Order: sequence, then C-alpha cells, then structure tokens
Amino acid sequence: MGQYWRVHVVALCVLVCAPAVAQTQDEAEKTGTRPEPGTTEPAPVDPAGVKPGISPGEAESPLADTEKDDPNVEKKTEPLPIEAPLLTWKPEWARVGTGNYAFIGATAAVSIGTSLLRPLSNHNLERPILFDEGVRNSLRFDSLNARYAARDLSDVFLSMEITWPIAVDALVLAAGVRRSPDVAWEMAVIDAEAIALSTALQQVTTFLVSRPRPYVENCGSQLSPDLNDCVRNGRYRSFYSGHSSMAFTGASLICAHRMRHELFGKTADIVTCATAYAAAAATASLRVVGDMHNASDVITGAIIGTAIGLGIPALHYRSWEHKRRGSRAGSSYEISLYPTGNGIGLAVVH
Amino acid sequence: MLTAMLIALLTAQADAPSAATDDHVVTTDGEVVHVSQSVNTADLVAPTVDRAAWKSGKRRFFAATTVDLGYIYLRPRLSLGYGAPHFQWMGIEMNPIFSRQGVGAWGGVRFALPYIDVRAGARGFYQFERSFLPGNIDSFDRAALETSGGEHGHYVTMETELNTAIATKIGELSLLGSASRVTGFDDPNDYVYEDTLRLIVGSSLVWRARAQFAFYPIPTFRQFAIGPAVDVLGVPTRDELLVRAGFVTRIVFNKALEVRGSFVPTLVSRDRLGLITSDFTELGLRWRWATE
Repeated sequence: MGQYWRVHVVALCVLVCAPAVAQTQDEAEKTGTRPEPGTTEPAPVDPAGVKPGISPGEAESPLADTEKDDPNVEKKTEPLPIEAPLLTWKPEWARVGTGNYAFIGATAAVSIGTSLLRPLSNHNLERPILFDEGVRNSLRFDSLNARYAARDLSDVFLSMEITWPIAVDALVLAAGVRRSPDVAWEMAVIDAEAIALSTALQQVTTFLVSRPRPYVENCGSQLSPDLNDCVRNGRYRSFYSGHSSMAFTGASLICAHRMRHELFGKTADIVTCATAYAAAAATASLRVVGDMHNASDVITGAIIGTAIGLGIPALHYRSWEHKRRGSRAGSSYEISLYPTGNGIGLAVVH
Repeated sequence: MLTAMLIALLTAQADAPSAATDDHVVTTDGEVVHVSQSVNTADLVAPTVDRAAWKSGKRRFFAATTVDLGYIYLRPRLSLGYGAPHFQWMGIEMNPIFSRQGVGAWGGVRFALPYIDVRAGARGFYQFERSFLPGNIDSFDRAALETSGGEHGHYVTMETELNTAIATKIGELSLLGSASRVTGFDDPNDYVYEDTLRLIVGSSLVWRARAQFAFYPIPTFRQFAIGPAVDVLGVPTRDELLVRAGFVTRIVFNKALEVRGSFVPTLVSRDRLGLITSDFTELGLRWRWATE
C-alpha cells in the first residue's frame, strides 16, 4: 500500500450534490467496505449463524425477519421449503451507505420538484427529426381510443419493469428463496438508486428541452382542443421518454444483478433478462403507437435507461481492490469514480 | 352495549381469521394516471397469514400505519383504535389521496372482528382535469372522459363494506360486499368518473361483490398465496354491470413487510374506458407498523 499514493480529489454525489464524504482507503478497510489485498473470496458461511457477507456484530439489513427479536410476538411465518444456496456479497463489492440513501432522497426530490414545474416556454425540437415522421406514420394507431389503450398498456409494462427488480428479485428471490436478506437489501438500494437517478434525469431533461409531443400538432384539428392532452403541461414533455428510460433501467437492473448472482438458476435468469428487455422494448414501442413520443424520444430514453441500469450496479459490483492492484502494473495515473459508504468518491490513483 | 360487545370480541383471543379490507388510493405514474380501487383485491389474499403475526400483541389503544409503495404510488393510511392492530380492532381510519387527477381523503370507522371486517365512511375527491359528464349518454369512451370543458368534477362517496374469509387447507376464500352512494353533484343528472371505484356513476347507489380464492401453492409455506379473483360492480341507475376478473398474489415476509400484486382487468362494461377501470399495476410493497 505504501508503494503508491492516492488523493481523494473530490467527494461528490452525482447530479444533485448530496452531502457525501469520500472514505479513505484506510477507513474503508477498517469498516470492511474494502478488503485487505487478497481477501477477494466470498465470505464463508459462519457455522455460528452469522450470515455470509455480514461481519459479526454488524447490523443486519432491514429485510431481516423482525419477529425473531421480539419474544412476545408469536412467530407465524414459516420457512420456505426450498433448499437453495445462500447468496453472498463479496468483500470487494461496495456496500450501500448513508451517501446512497441521501442520493436517493435528493434525486427523488429533484424528480418531484421538476415534475411540478411547467416546462420551459422556449420549446426545442418542435419538428420531427431523423426518422420520427416515418416511424410515427407507420406505428401510430388511427383511433384515439386505441392510442389510449396503448398508453395504458405501456403503463402496465412500466410498472412491472420498475417494481420487479425490488419486489421480485430482491425481496422474493434474494431475501425469500435464497434467504439472504443482506444481499437483498444491497440489491434493493442499488435498484432504488438507479431508478431515482433515471427518473430525475428524465424529468430535468423534459423540463429543459420542452419538446411538444407528436399529437400536439393535431390539437384543434383531429383532436378536440378541450382534450386534456391538449391543455395539460405534459404536452411539452416529449423528450425524452420516461417510460422508455425507466423500462430499460428496470430491465438492465434485472440483468445486472443476474450477471453477479444466480438468482433462480442460469436458464431462468437468462430467460428473465431477455424477457425484461423485450418488455422494455414493447413499452417504448407502445409510446410511439400511442402517439405520446417520437421514435427519437424513446430511443434516447432506451439508451440512457440502459446506461443507468447497468452503470449504477457496475459501480457497486466493481472489484475495487482488483482494479487498484492492477493499476500498479501501469505507470500512469488512474482517475475513477467509486461508491463509498456515504457517497461517491472521485479518486486519482498513481 | 354494542361497544361492550365489540370490546369483548376484540379482547377474546379468537383464532378465527379476520377478513381484510384496504384503503382508498389514487396512483400516478407521472404521465397517465392509474386509479386503484377502494378495496385492493390483493388485500384479500391470505389474511390469516399476514395478520397472524400481529395476533399476539396485547389489546390496547394504539396508532398504526399501513404504507403501500410501488411504481409509482405511495399510500399511507393511519389507524387509531383499540384492540390488536392489524388483526382485530375497532377504531377510525383515514388516508389522504393524491394524484395528478386530483386530491381527496377518506375517513371512517372500522371494526375488524373475528370472521368479519366492517368499514364505513366517506371519501371526498376533487378532480383537477376531468369534468362532470352529461347524464344523457349511454356509453362513454376514453376520449369523452379525457375531455375537459366544464366544471371540475367533485364528489363525496359514502361507503360501507363487509368482508369475510374462510380458510381451508389448500387456500382461503375471501368475500366482499359493499354499497356506496355517490353524492355532492351540482346537477343530479350528471355523471362522474369515480376515481376509486373506477367507473362512471351518477348520483346514485353502487353495489359491489367480490370473491377470490387464494391457493397456497406451497402447502408448508402459506405466506405465499395466489389465486383467481372476480369483481362485480353495479350501477342500477345506469344499468351498468362492470365485471373484472384476474388473479392476485401475495408473499408475506414478516409482520411488517409483504409483496403484493393484483392483475384484474375489466372484462365487461358498457363504457369503453380501457385499462383505467382495471385493477392493474399493483405489484408493490406493503409495510405495517403500530405503537406498542
């Protein structure tokens, strides 16, 4: 460790500057966030009952069974009769901390606040671009009621895509089937972090870009000017598609966790991942079919959503110790972002 | 006398299952609003399991909360009463209703007794975008519903619900009946979209009957339940009979936390409103808490 020096240049939180203080390497090693070199193997199952990935004395996740500590409460829940290996959170993977919770809260506040604002009066991208017009003419339903049905269906898909990573993957599979509430909590917070960032980024962008939705050009002609779509502020929130970005964020989270944990068997995990992306693509397509977005809106959303859905988990799952040791072989500086116990740090390593 | 009887019932350590009801909530996904039902279908799944963990608490005066969280809705509900919270109790319940479509609140009394669960109260709602609908139209489509052009819709729904549950070895049968009266119209001939019942009504009575059977797919793990549900609502003055059918599911993790979902689309209705009348997108978390 003394062979090189490192400087924590900035401790920051992405996007909204939530208060975060980057941990030093030594502090991280003390708290177990980062392991000593060579301790990259998964934590063993403690025969005394300590869950893998949890240090003795460390508080368990909020997903742990709350009944066991209360002798006055009659325990009615039953163990799941499935023998599946426990999941482990590798020591080199960064655990969630105060900074992550602050980040989620701050981005949620940004999302809510921005959603209440009227998009800027200076509209951008008012005309279709690239292939927007052709795709719209090809995919859009003719009937207004059919377009409403497409929108509603996209809502159903979106809800499933966003809820699935936390409710099913983290809670049902990781905490329930695999009996690993510690890992489940880490997964759930990572999911919440990605979803919050994806939502905030989309809300801010739609507010700033203020692009009219495709149907706006038909208000007063094909569409009644009294139609709610033609009067509400949301008609200028076309770029980019929140449904598309959120659906792809959810699908990417579903896949990202399965790349590190075999949640329900390899085949089932692959099928689930593929299905999630197919559903995300359907969600995005339905937004065009429902005339709520241009093709450029949903494609942009898909790209950003995928990047966030894969990027945020990658920050946590990245093997920091391995990267650090590997960088010694080179002669250059390495600048990297990494999650800490209470924020996201920017490190310059030589 | 009645109060004494109720207290006696609550004080008795009955092993009988309690029926379950839920709250009145409106949800939003940021662009298109979904409105959930007055009684969440999923709430009727396996009440004996999720409530059993609360059974052993001593009878007392308490404050309790139930919070439903999903994408994207947050449904807080406050209960004040006497008994074993979330199991057998009596008291008052209230919850706010927020959505892009409007604001409102529910308040009422509840008696969660052995074998039956009774609730009565009122729900007020003010619509931001939707208006009252003309009462001389037989069938509405979605475009008609989504067109402004009049006074903002507002109404008060008086509601009484009765629930019961019958447990078996393979699952649990849950039954619900309710009667609602929608009032508060400026013009009694108008209609309005009732955001919680999710159908178009006049200033009139709405009845509701629902049945579902939640199977225990894993007999030794009754926290997991899934099964079919049928929901029928009638508006006699409109000659409307709305039928929903689908399935509901729930997994209970501990006394505080469970995952629940309902997927009950509308199959029959005289109106063509699309999925907003269905019981969809209800995959989410439920968290319970109560004072000791």
